[in-house]
Amino acid sequence: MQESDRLMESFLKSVEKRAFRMARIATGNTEDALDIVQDAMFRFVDRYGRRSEREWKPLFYRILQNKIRDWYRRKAVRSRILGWLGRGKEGQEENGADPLEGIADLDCPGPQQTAEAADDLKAVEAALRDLPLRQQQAFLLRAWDEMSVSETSRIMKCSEGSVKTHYARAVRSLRDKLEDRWP
Amino acid sequence: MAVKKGTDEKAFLERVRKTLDQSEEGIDAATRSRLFQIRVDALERAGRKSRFFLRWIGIPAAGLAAAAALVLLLSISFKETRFPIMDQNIEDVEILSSAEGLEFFEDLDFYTWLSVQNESTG
Repeated sequence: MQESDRLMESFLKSVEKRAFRMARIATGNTEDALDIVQDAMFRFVDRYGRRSEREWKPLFYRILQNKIRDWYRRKAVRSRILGWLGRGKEGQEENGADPLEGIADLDCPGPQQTAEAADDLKAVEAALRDLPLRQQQAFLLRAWDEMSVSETSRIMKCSEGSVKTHYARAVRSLRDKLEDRWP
Repeated sequence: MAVKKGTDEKAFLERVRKTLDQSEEGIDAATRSRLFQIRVDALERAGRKSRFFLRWIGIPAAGLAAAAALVLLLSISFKETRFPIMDQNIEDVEILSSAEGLEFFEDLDFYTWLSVQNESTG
């Protein structure tokens, strides 16, 4: 295996779980999240594999966030079409048409996780999923991935001011929602 | 009071971060296996692309230049035939004749920013 292949493998390995968790929180669905990660990785290696390694992380996350936004758009179109066909309600029940409102069960927790930790995760994921997508993205990139305001604004394709606003609103909303658990 | 609020927020964020970190470790075996397969497929794809690129490098430069000129000529004539009233802007021709996809030019500002970041950090 060449050095460049090793670097790429190491990079993809370092981001795959987090990318999956971000997509899973956004979609509330494991299969959709895996599809998003696959699309993002394929697109990343197709377009940016030859670029400098230092650029990989922001480029990959930008593609991932684009794919998540695409998923939301497709979901919204599907919901509208089902609504026109008079199956809006049925569609919502089947597909969870608005993923921010639907709180899906988590995947089975790992054996080492305590019941309390699993409960915490469930509550955090539900609170995150309740956020508008832009707030959710800003929060996960800033708070979890510890990206700078500047990096986050480039990944989200918006101004730094917007990132700060989305992030501040997300933190406030999450604190309100999780207040009972973590006063 | 403000200090307490700031400390509270820091502790809150730390707790959320820790919970999310744990969630990565709690991903079930089936999903881990799928992620592994996706990574393998992506690497294979990258390898194929790399081999394809190397084969192209092997083509003599003169042949490549001739092919590029032919593509440029065809793209201009095709453009003139299909869209006679479209403005013949030299920048458009450069973009059309470039090896990069159109999306590269859409993301040009992003690349510029990345380069500046790299220069300032590296």
